[in-house]
Amino acid sequence: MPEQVRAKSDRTLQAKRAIFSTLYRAGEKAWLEGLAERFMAPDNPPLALAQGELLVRSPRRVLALTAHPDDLEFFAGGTLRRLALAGSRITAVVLSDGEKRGNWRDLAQQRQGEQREAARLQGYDTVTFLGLPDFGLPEDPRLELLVARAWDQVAPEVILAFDPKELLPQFANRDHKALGRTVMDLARARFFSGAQVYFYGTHHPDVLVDITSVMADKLRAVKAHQSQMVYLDEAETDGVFQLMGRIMAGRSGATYAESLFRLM
Amino acid sequence: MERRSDPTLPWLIAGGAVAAAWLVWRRMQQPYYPSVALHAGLELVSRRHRVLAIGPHPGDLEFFCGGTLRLLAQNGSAVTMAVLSRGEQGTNRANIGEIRTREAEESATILGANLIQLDLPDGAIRPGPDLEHALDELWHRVRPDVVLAFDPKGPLPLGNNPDHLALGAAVLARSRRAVSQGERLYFYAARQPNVLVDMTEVFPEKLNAVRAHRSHIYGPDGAVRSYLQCASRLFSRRVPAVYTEGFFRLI
Repeated sequence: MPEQVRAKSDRTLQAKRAIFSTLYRAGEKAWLEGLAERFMAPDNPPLALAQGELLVRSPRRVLALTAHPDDLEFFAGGTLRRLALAGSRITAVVLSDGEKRGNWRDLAQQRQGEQREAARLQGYDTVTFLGLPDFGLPEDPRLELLVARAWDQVAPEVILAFDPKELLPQFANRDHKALGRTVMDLARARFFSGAQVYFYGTHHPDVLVDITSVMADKLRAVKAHQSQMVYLDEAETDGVFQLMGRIMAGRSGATYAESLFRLM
Repeated sequence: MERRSDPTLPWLIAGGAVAAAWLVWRRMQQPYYPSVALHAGLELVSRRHRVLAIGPHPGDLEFFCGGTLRLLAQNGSAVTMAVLSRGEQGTNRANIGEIRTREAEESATILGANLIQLDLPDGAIRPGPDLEHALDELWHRVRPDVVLAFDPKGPLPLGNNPDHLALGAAVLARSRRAVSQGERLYFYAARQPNVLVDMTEVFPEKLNAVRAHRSHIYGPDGAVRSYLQCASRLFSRRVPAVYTEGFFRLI
């Protein structure tokens, strides 16, 4: 367990705890869940579900890019698990070690270990840590070069990255935004490479992946990130991810789903 | 205070509300990342494919994706326009089916495409064995890389033609097999396109192809042109192109 500096109490942690549990309790209300479903619904849910099936059905070379060690499992854990079960070769590239949080020290080592454990549970082929600074991706000059190099080395058929416009563009995490924008710029230059680029964590989904069959696996992989489980207890964590899955599935016919936006 | 004789204010407010709703709706229908959608359209038309474009009635293909078909044909693709019905329920003129087929042939010549005219009943195209059989035959004859079909949801929230929806649903049902054979499916007349084709340079040809359907054009010449211009500008608000056609690409 990382050592905590005693100088002052971790205000951020307390605030986040309050926000997350309030959000969860509010989200459990049926009318709010319905409202969120409406907001998150793709234009054509059956078509989106069909696209998702086509995505995860056959084995592919996948490059999964993410900014911090837990984001991949949070936002696309079920999709990646289904891809892995279909026999895909998945390369996960984690840009930063997520070493910054309040007064906690030495998070980098612990979070790398958690990410490796999650990767083992999920069945990824490789996990690469690029070691860029947490919360400093937009300023980092190496970002674009390293992402481009990963793209060239893996030669992927499917790329997963963060949507730069996340759920609310104004509140998007700056690392996530930087990663998404970089991938978008590279994608424009490599349009003829034939790779498919999908954004996770989007508010404008047009692909829904049915993750009902792998929901338990997703929860297990999410909970492998023990250092991030401080905001909610275990039951609440399960509830949150099931709620997210239900909201994203909406009226498409699946019980739990994950939503993606297909860039190209 | 003197009572106003004509109450204009309520009408102004109502008109403003309708205009605002229209603008918001249009904004919601724009592609999520428009510049990338334009790149995807460029990628579609700049390669050579065997293209199968399926339309439910004569004239639908020209109106919704005529410019794209023309661009594909110009760039060396083999374009086949398949029209499922003769549109014989359009008006109660005698032999309207033959007239419309002749018009479809003419517009296919303008666009540089081959025409396959099928004989399904206009107004009664529904998902079922007849439609399946017709599509099987089309796939067998053309062996396409790229398929263009009507969007299964239709371009408007209400009042879509059931023939159009039936075609979209039937093609969507075949998507799994089609994609596993390496085909790419695009739905035209989509509400939220993720592919935009810049067809500014072939707009006159598209206009001529639409005008070739004389039996179904009512009103003056300029009105047809400006209607088509408005319809082609719907998705070009946020991209550097004047006239575009939107598609939803399925994988």
